[in-house]
Amino acid sequence: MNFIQKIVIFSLLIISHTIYADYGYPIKNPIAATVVGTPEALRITQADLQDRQPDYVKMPALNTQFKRTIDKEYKISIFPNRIIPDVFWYEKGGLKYSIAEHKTQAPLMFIIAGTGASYNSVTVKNLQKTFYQVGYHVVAISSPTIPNFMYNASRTVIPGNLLEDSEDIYHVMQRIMEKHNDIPVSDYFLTGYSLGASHAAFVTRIDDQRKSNQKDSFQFKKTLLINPPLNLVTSVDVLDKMFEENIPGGIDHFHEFFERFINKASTFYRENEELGVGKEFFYEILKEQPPSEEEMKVMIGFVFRISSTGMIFGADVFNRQGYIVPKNKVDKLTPSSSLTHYSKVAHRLGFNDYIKHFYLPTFEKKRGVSVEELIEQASLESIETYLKGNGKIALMHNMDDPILLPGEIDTLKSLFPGRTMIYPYGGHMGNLQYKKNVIDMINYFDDKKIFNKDDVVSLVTGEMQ
Amino acid sequence: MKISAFFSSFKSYRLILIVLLYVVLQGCSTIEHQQTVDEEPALNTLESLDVKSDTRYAVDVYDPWETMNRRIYNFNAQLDDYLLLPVIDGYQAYIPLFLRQGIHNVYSNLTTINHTLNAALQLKGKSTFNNGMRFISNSTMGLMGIFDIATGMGYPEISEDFGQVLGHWGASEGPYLVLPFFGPSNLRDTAGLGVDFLIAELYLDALGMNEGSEGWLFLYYGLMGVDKRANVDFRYYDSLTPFEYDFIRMMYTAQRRILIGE
Repeated sequence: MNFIQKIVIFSLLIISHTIYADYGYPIKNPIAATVVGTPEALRITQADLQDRQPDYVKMPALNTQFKRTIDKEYKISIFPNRIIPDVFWYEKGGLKYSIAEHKTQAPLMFIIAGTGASYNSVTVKNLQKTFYQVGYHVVAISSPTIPNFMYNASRTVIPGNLLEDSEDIYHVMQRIMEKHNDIPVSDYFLTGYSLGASHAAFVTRIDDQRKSNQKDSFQFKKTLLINPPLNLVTSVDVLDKMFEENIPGGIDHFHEFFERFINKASTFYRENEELGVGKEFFYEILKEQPPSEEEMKVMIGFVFRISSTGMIFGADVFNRQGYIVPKNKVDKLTPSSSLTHYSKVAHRLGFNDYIKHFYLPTFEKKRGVSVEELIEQASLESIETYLKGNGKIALMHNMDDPILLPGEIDTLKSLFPGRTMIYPYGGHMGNLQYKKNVIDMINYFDDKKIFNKDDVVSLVTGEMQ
Repeated sequence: MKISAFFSSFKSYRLILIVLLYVVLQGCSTIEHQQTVDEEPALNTLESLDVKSDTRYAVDVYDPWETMNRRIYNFNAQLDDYLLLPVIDGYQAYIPLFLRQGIHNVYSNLTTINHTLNAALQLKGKSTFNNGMRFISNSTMGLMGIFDIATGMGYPEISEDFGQVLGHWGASEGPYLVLPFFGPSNLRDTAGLGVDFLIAELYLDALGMNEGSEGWLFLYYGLMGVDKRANVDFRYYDSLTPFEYDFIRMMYTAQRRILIGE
């Protein structure tokens, strides 16, 4: 049985009988959608976008060629005098990002990655390739939650504050454009997914506030927020619980869970010589052997936890908070020190523990703001007036996104009156590669999008088959 | 093949490896001898989090040489950045795909000899037959292995190394080990790797490559390394976690246990 067949069968298993006639994304279980994404046959292809491709764009035939010949990786030093701890020696080269640029004048799209994701993640690369093909220069920027960004571009190295993290991103964008001032840009556009979407909202606002000084601002033509959380703190809690509450016997029994789970990878290992590493790999295993809903929840939570442990460890080492590394031990960490012990402790702590016991107290002290205010600032509602009154920011989201609490989708929709594209299914970004979604994104930036007044997007003007 | 011939042909390699190991080990001996007591323990410890002391951890792997291993791991990361990846970039940019594919197929075909032998030594009938048929068809109709026609005929690549043979007959994995160039391993698999190289020496000898200058062998093994690296999509410190070493150690160990059926 080949890969595609497995996907198709898996998909069929979880398709429920309530099918929206006008939206064909097939996976109706939001957890499965989050894990599986879009089945290969329904994903956007280069050929699908042929008629949207301007003459000046030349696309290579193979994906790997795009990465090698068009999408170029760079490093930039934002804080040249900062001393990066030895244990993070591999982050010393600067902030990494990538640009796919055209030779001619074209609009430029910034993409901000989601929690724990880099400029190089699969989701970012897919968006980058799509927007490149339809004519944009594309600049991909990592999430401020990954160590490379924290150490090279965050002023506090304590991620979690939407406003300050977005200011850091904004500064990075400016520095990148200064460095690449030979790129002929007509207009600037911005998008981000998941936490990167929250950042995109704040970045647009920061830019608007600087508008008086036209030289210094991008004056984004349009911004698209894809599957943002309403409030960072509540969504993080949901993801933490997915991990902690679905392991049979509790988190103490993660070892047994892992052993059972990894045995499911045996087929993958027999067919691939390669050692599976990283988040993408876990999703591969899940695709190979349909797991139970609980298992999928644990794996979504685990992938999230891998991200948060790195963030917590990185913030602790830099700021010497003694959160998991004793303060007097920080200086003794070398590139070859064993980190296994810290890894065990860090994996016990959720993102929410970090928010409550690290980020909030530190920021309360540093900025003199109360914990309640800080939690409010973690929500898009904190810039409600701005969002409601700004016609150039739109929302793309799913009714069944599992990172949202019941009712949060309605609050989100109310923040973008008449500027939403809400789909009935897709989980958390499972439909990002689905043809209709990609075309809707392109149409939105192209001014071809007609937003639907209903809760759920139904038909787009003529573009869809 | 005479044993002396084997050693002479491997001389230069061994020399490089010994020098590298020396450099790496030299560094190890100078650190981590101080055992300080935490004056102020961290806010969160396994104790403070009420974790039961008998809890097992997926990340725990027997790794008594961890400091040395981490050094070699970082050495490999830099080797990748400063040598292998630039070489591979050039290889992919200047050597056309069909040629690279052909090179890959030739190496893969020769390695099928190892796979066949190792499958037989583990008494795996199906895998032995598959790999044997694969070697025969690719060596003949595939023009000395340049074309992989066997996969299409239903004989896919099934990798069997001598580490698996050792494991099959009860050898335990021993301490975890990171090898320069090769990456994650353990004592048993390192021994297995050595035997697989010896087996390769046998057929290289039969092909006449061990005679005369060592230039051939350098080219053979050099290109083999480039081909191998080009076909693995792994990038050091790209997993976005500072616990990458632990993670890889955990995954490698789990993978080997699955393959060996432990």
